[in-house]
Amino acid sequence: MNFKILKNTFDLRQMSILSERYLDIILGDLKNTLILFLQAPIIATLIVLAWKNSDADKTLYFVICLTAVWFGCINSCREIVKEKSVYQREVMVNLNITSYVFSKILVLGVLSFIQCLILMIIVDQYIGLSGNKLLLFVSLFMCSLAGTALGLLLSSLVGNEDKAVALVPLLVIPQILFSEILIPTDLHQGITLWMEKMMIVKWGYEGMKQITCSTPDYVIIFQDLSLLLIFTIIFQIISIIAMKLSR
Amino acid sequence: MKKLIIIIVLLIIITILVFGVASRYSLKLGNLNIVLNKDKDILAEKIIDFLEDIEFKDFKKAATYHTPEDQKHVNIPKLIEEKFFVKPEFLDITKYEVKEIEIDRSGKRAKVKTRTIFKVLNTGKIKDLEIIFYFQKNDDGKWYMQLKSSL
Repeated sequence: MNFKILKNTFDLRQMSILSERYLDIILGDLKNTLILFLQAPIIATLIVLAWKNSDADKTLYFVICLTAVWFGCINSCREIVKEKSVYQREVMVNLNITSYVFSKILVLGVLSFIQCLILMIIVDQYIGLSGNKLLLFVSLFMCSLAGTALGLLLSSLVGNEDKAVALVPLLVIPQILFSEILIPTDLHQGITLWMEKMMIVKWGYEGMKQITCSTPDYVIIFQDLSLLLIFTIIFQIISIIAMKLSR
Repeated sequence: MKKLIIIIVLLIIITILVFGVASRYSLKLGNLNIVLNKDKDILAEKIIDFLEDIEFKDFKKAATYHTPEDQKHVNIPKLIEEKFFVKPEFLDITKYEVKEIEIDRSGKRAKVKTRTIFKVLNTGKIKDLEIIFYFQKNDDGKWYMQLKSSL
């Protein structure tokens, strides 16, 4: 086996250094980081207010999945494009793009993890979620992670930060439009059926529905979570390819 | 990377504690017991114990959650039949959870909403029921299940 090829594709040492550097940048920009963290309790409070007089229903699970995807997208949509000039310079001195993208998702994943944790603790405390809480949280976090990868993909394709933020609704609104919450799945046909299957929220929501039902099928839950992971990996790969092409 | 690994490990531990070990009203870990709401925690424990007694058909113990007066004429199997629409011998409770606990302004009345999933053994059907149990706090400071309005 040629380890050199593997090293060229992914460099663990570089990823470690880049992650540490990125974490320091995020922690250094305390004001912006606080704003990102505050999103979670604010949205959770609004959800609690909206469901104040009713029980946790399937719409609630859809809304928290959508919120998780939103967290992921908005956290990551500017993160590559804002450093474009830096990484293009560093690529000339042997920066490994795969390690760079992985360092981003690792740190942003931690950020999403905290946001999902805050969101779920508040919603569960005041509304009360059914089913296995740990599995519900894993589904929520996987949604957010896929959203983060989608945001990074957007960030790798656009020319500047403003464009990235402006395009986030284009990623999030279809998640609502092609969902069974809006139009029952039976009415989705042809291209709309495919579009529905391409939505991250769908799989997180399907997983949550399964976790909260009377007789959860753990194979289906595993499949739904795996699909979210596959989405994350595919978005990462496309981001890497896009960045390599734009060098 | 060390800093990041420490953060990740800490977050995983917190998540397991919050969603795996703690309930909505308390966190119990060995000798450590952090109670967020004492009354609600007691009620949640009582209901879980009660449903567990019914699950294992321990009707004698299931009757002990009522006031000493009610305990004299409580007939749990008959009441189960009325509430679950199933004869106790056909009832196989598989899962139960506390959905919500509400205590009134006086702090002496409470209602506990639960979700119970059970299998009807003679038909094989799985049923998902939401049941509300009502409690009253007596002068002795203990919570008792109200016989008529609950089971």
